[in-house]
Amino acid sequence: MEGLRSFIEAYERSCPGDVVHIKEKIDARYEITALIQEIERANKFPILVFDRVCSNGRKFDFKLATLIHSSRKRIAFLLNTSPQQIGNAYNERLQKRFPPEVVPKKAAPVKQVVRRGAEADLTAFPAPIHHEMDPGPYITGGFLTCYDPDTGIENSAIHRGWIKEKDEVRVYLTPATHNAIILAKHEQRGQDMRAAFWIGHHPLVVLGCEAAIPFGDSHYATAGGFLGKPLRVTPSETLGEDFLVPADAEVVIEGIVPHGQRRPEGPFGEYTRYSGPQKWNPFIKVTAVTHRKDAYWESVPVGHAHWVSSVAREGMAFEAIRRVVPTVRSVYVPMSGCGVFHLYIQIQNAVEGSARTALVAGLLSHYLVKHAFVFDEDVDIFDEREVLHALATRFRGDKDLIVIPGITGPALDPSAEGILTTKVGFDCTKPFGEPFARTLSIPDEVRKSPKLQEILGSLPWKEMPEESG
Amino acid sequence: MAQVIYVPCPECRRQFYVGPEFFSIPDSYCHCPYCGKEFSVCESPEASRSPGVGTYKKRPGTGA
Repeated sequence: MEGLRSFIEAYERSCPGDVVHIKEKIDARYEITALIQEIERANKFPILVFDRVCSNGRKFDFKLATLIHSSRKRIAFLLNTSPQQIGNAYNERLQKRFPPEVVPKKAAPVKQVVRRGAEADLTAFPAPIHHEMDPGPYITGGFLTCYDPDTGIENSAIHRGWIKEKDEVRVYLTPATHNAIILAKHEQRGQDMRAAFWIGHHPLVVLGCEAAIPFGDSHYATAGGFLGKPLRVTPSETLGEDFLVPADAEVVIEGIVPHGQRRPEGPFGEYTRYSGPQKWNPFIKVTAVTHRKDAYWESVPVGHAHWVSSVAREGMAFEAIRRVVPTVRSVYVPMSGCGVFHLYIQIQNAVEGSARTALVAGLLSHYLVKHAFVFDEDVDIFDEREVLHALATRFRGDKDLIVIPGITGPALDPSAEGILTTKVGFDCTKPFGEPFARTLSIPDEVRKSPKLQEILGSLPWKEMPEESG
Repeated sequence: MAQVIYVPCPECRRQFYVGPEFFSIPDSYCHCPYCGKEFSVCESPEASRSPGVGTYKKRPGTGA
């Protein structure tokens, strides 16, 4: 039974310094985010477990876990690879699918506590208020599962959810997402939509369910591929025996999205590091809440380092590019591009046209990729100083640029018009087949000479001031 | 440019921002994230003077 708590316990035994328990009382209103921001500034990303979360003087009964996917080293550990090869490893796991295994409710830890109807109270959970202008506590680490009325296949994706009332969650089904398409299908039939948020699961399940797979494919199956065995699921309490929820989640929120109805949702501090505007959005009327005893509430630090979307985009991009440019070496979706907008591609530039081909494939690998950059093998795409140097010295705007206007893009990008953006590709490779300037170098025998090492060893390193910028 | 429209709350006067659909969908209303007041954008005349209002095309069924 793979779940969030079993992972945290096992991981803490392997990497004891990388799980930090906060015993002090901490307020769900801004304080958790403020602490995360300071830890992020120190370039540290341990898993944080808050034991005593409170709000308005009330202490919550549940622990809060966060930063689970905020370290690339940890994700590499999960995928049994190096941080530089995450895209490749992600894609390998994505090729394996296992249909989910249905287990009876009594074998499902998430059914240890069941609250139906008026007994369901979402305000019992320590969902943080993350940033100023957020209207209230938000579900940020929850997967919303819906079923396609045509095929009966589930779709699961992370969506933000404002806990507006004890029995109401307002959700942003971003346009162009599969859950938005499924809702539209229900509404065209005049039907309400059954939906469930599930929160807190093994981080490999989270990685698998974040994959952007073709519409109609099951995320429960991809989750199994990442786990290496079928995902355990169990029937819902109030949405029918055919509506299956993850048996080993920490919390499941079941409900109905009334067709044709909208309510204001947001503003909300988003992954773009801006507040996204208030939207006229659907909502879930909660019919039941089930959870483990002493459940962990997982919160994603939106707007701060969080690599789930990035590594999923890397996996999709690596596969899309590899189909047309087999000499792709590595891909990287950096946090400086909000973890989704920028894609760095490293190729062995073996065939004329490969660089631009890789750019087009990368740009179209996902609607969230806005700018793609392609580099030669000698550029370390994980070092943004090298990336910017190559952009500065190998790119010419009149011939190395690809511009695709009027294409579906990230709706939350403040520069987008509705859901339309302009995708741009930057060819930062050296001109193919032509002589190019030689990068600076110093003979190895000089760099590694004992004399130089002796001088370096004698320098007053600690006294020398660090350059801040 | 981005379709973000600042709206002053008629109750507490603090500003927040909304998507343009609030100007094109009849019976839609905003919710002030600061004081909880619910109101139509018509009650906030400063908002309707913002650039970009009225350019939005509704996309049925997407919530956008």
